Amino acid sequence: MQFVADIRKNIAETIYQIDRVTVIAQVTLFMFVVFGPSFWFTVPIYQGALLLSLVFPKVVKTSYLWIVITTVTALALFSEWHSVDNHKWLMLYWGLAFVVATVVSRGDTDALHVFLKKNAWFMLIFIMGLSVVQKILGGAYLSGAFFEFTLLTDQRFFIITHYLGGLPAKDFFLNAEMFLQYPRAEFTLFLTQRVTLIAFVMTYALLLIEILIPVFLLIQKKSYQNFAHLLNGLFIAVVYLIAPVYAFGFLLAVLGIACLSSDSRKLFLMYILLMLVIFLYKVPWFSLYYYFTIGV
Amino acid sequence: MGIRGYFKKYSLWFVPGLMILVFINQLFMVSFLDLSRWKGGGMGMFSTLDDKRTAFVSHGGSAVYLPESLFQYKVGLEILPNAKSADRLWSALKGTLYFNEHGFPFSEPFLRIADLPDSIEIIRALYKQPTLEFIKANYTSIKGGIIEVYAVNTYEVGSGRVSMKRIFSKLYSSE
Repeated sequence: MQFVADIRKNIAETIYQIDRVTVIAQVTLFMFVVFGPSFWFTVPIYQGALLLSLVFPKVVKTSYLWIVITTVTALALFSEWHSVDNHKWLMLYWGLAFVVATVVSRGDTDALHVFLKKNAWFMLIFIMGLSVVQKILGGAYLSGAFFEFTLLTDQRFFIITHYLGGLPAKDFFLNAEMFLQYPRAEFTLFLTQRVTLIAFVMTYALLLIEILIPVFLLIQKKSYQNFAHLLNGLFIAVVYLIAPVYAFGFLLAVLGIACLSSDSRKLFLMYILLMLVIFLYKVPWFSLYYYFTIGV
Repeated sequence: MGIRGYFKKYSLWFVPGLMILVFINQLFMVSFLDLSRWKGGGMGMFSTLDDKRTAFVSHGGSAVYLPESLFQYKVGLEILPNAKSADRLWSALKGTLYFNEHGFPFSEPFLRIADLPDSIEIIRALYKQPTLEFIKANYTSIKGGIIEVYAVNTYEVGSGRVSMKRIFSKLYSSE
């Protein structure tokens, strides 16, 4: 047991001794490699940059690297900007934050860290705050309509609707079919009371977390900031277990790490673990389950 | 203070300022140009029923089957329904593709799913991809038609009632 404890201690010590800015930059580049826009001109550049950062860590503190990363990302997103997913916009902003930070800090690691920390802090508040604003402006969220409708029609939520909501699989797929047929003015979806209840809980649980994270981040006391990070961790762990938008979850973890002070060791470790958890979520567990149980 | 001084002083506001500008632009486009609230960099994901917009191409009352190679144009039109997006889809379709005379593009697999007896069979059908493939209709070259985009107008909580509305349409003549 002592042996295991020693290994754990050594790993923890090694992680904590790594320069925080280097870690933030490397996980950012990893995020671009795995979740960034996939074009013939972006992929080799992202991969090359990550490799470079691993071999020569100091390179992440130069602006040239981030100018290249941000320029290719902007070029990739430019032609289809209106249909690009929000997390890709955020990756572009985060790349830009690195460009400005490296230019302004001029090699001063502490200044670079402070700059990135402030930008990440703003971005987390912006993401959560604006998603609350959009939910209110959209008009279909607060009544519970959005989640009830989504649970009944979005294939990504099939597992919840079927197993927790009790909606027969046949009804679920007939719901989806209604949108593929040439449109009728009105129709009625198959529904269970349990789905309505789950939708209500999901609606207000998500809204509450999205309100609390920016509120606690705005309060400049360490305990509140820490609580905001714990909520952010909870958000990543739960939301991306259900909604498979893994890139967004990973980005929230990267911003979370960037937002921490150098002495926040446990939260740092929490975000690293969450990044690994996101990759566990990516495993197609249900396909595997069905493969071994009913042979498909 | 020189340019470098101003840059250093206001640099912290560069990214937040840009994010706010993109958000304002997105709000404008959602309000006046029917952009989907989920898109455009405004953090509107999981906020509205916009995700279920559906673009249809029809000819003489029959729906045209759009192959996967054209889905990028279809999705582009659903996200930002306007004449330019519709023209892009039409240009890709015109003269080169064929339409399903039956008018129910996905009827084959879903009719099969509807006929299946229980949940296990449904899951088997869902996870066994070839079941979802179809194409048993007769195809005819497309010359003229109409492109429409429908969106969910209202959804009634607790009853499952959905009403749809047409948010865009454009007619293309056969010439």
